[in-house]
Amino acid sequence: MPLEYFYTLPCVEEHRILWQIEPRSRRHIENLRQIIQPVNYPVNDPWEAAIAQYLFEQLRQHPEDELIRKHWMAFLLRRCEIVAKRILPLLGDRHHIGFDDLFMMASVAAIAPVQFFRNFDESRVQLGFWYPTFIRFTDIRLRNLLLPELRRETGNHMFGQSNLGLVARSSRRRVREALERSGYGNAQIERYLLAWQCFQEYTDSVNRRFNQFNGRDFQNIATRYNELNQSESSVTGSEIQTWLDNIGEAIRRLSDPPRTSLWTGFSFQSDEGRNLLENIAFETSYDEEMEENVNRLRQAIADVLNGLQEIKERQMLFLKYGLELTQGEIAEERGINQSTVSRRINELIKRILLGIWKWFNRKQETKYSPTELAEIQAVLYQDYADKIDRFVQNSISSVTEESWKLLKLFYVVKQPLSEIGNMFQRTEEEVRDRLNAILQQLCSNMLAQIQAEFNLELQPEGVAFKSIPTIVETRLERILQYLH
Amino acid sequence: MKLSQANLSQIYSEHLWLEISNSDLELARPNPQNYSNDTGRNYAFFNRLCLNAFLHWCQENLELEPAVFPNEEVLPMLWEFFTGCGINLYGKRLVLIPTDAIDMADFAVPQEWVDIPNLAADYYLPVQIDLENRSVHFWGFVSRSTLKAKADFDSIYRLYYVEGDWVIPNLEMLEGASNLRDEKGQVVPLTTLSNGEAENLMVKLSEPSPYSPRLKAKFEKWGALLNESRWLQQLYEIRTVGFNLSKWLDGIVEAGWQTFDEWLNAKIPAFRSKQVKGIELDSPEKIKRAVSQFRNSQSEVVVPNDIEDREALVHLLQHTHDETVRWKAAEYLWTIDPNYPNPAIRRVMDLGVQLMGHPIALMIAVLRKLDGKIAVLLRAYSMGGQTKLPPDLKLIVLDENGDPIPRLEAVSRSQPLDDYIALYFTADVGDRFSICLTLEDTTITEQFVV
Repeated sequence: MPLEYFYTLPCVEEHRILWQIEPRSRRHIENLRQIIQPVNYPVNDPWEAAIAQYLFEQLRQHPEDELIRKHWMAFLLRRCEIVAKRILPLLGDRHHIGFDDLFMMASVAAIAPVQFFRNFDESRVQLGFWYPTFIRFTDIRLRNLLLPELRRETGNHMFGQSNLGLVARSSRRRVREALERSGYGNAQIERYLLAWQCFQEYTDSVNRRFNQFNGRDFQNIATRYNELNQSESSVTGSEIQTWLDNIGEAIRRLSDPPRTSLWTGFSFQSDEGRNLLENIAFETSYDEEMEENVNRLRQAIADVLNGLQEIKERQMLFLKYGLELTQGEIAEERGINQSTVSRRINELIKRILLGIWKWFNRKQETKYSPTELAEIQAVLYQDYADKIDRFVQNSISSVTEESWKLLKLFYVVKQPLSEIGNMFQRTEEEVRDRLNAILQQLCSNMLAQIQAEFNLELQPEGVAFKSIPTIVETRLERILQYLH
Repeated sequence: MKLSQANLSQIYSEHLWLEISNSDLELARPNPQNYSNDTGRNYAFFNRLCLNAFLHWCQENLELEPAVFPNEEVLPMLWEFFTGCGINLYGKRLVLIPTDAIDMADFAVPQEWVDIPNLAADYYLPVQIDLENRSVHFWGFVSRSTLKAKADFDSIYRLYYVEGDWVIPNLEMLEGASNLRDEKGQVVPLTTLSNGEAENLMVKLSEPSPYSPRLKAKFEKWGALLNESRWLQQLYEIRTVGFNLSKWLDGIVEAGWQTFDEWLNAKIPAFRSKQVKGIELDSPEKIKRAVSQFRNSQSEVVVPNDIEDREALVHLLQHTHDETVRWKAAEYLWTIDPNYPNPAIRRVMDLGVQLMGHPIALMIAVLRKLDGKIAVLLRAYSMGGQTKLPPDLKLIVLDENGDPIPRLEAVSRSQPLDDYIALYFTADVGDRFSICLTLEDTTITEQFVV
């Protein structure tokens, strides 16, 4: 992700988002770029990784700082856009969800970056690959936050129909977060959480649905609550009923905030108020030994990946981490058993880990931890994503100048088709056909590069082949912005 | 149009999404007699659904037959007390934790699976069960050491809440689990209970309740009890095999049952007048007249003339084939002389839960017949100072498979309101049955073995 992702904010229109630069944030990032050393592990933009890590440390140390929070809001909103773009083609066409809906659903998370990154800590980065692990954490968290919203679209009638339905089917964390966002104090939140637990326990203990509950059921829940919470004065059934209703209301607000208030949360203040952090000189420490270690680590990954002798191994990794296919899909693509795919990928990962340990001069271990494994996978996902970016970049470079302009007008400037048509003296239909033809050309070029690099011919009707247009299209806007 | 489950499984492709069929649902339904309350039945249903789906997937896709932990016999016993399915796979122990929450912000692991040394696992897998969309969704795993370090422990409900951020979403990693470093961490040993302590604890924990008894004892004691499989088994049996009615006749009655007189004195003093179905039995003359009329009202049993009234009643209740006669004789005897050695034993239990706001007590009487079979009389009374039952209260007897037994159903009337409703039947020693009391959509079930 380029550095501007830390200082641009969205302006959402129906089917597109335009990003606007926030001058104060940009100045801050430009200053940081002058004083921060880039990271030295394999990522597309080592400055971006270093600045992200610095800003993250600042967020930890100064969670209330307005400027730092805004950088992270901007970053999260960009990730929301990327995640929404990746998900949209997977939804098929039999639904009412548009890109803007997905983006809005995800962007609720960006309101509170401190809360969002609360659980990203150093225990996740055991091998030193901070940025890929961080990006993967962010994307997984955003996708996870989308699940309840997407489930609503699968016709889960229980959810969303009543406040009690929301209470019954929400996790404790979600209940807590909803209450916190609604402004309840800690003592009341603790009471509400116990009431929620008593409700869950009671629901399990009766052979009927909560939507049939009446006053006596709430009284029974209150009895249980009072039994377990003897330190405070007792509550009545009707109080419990009101509490549960309040919880439901808070969850409803959390999952569906009014859009106006959502955007107010993101707006940059125009005042150029003095910010202490901006004026603190950030001194980078240069540790030669660390630098050497990082270089060795980088080399280790590159050597292991380049050193894979078997073309089949490289194909397997590309399908898994580049095209992000499941083991079942890889098995189908390659015409082998899923258990074979599983075994081969596990062997490969193990070899990569052994290679890294060797470069680290670390004791050769026969066992590894899932956290290390997750970190290596994050690196592989990042490495292959960068590789695919290069493929797309190469493909774009191969089109004519007119095609390149057309793409840029459509994907970056986001001109409507009719206006583009006027500029090129073509009808809207002709512009659409032309864009489709260019996309097809880009896809063919991508396929040729995959064939050349991995000696991999994708099955014409297979899931890998079908994923190529989406992969190309979701990257076009980002790559076109920086291609001259 | 709606999104389909297939769309979700595409978006969250590193998760495992399995479909549930009608037959999966049927296979997962527990025999109601195997659990003492609906909490246990619900746990059993969700856990069986999740376990069957996972085992089937392992067989189909990995060509593996993972072993159920502790084993197929003991795991369903644990569901009487808490949720979770143990599985041994690739040399590691996994615990599947089913939930019906629709988000992935966190999941709750019962402390038993984490801190009881014989149950603690290497990895915990949250599983969303969506009955409406018929899907089981495995969304990752977390190691025990991460759980211990990062989870939020709720000391009231004794649950470890693990936030979704700590869940590693890639289940495929578990296929290489044998290469994973040990991440179980140390499990602190629990104190050992003496036999006496365990027995006392089991008496306390065997009291009927709509909830699991897991919060009734301190965790150190509760965990120590479950850590020993023989005690776990014993507690499960006490709670679920049901009250043993034959033992009552040998003078052994489980905790929670009162004698009829104790119950009557405590709850409904108004009932203390000595009468049976309007026939007063409060003086020697009235008793003599009533028993004489009763003897003459039936011709099936010849009662010797030279025995006194109470002996005559015992003779009648032992020799008649007519159950109404038998229980009328028993009731005369209970009323005339509660201390007379009566072959019919009756006990009452306050069911502890209100049916739509009406507290109900269940009376059971048993007597051994001459042919060795056991006659059983059931009655439901109102409690809490009320003398009349609410209308439409149903008393139903279910067989050992949980199916209603034809003709064994009584319903209270609205006009006039009933003092009680009753059923009687004869059973062989060892027969199992349940009594189901239902008012509107609320039901209480109690289990018995004859």
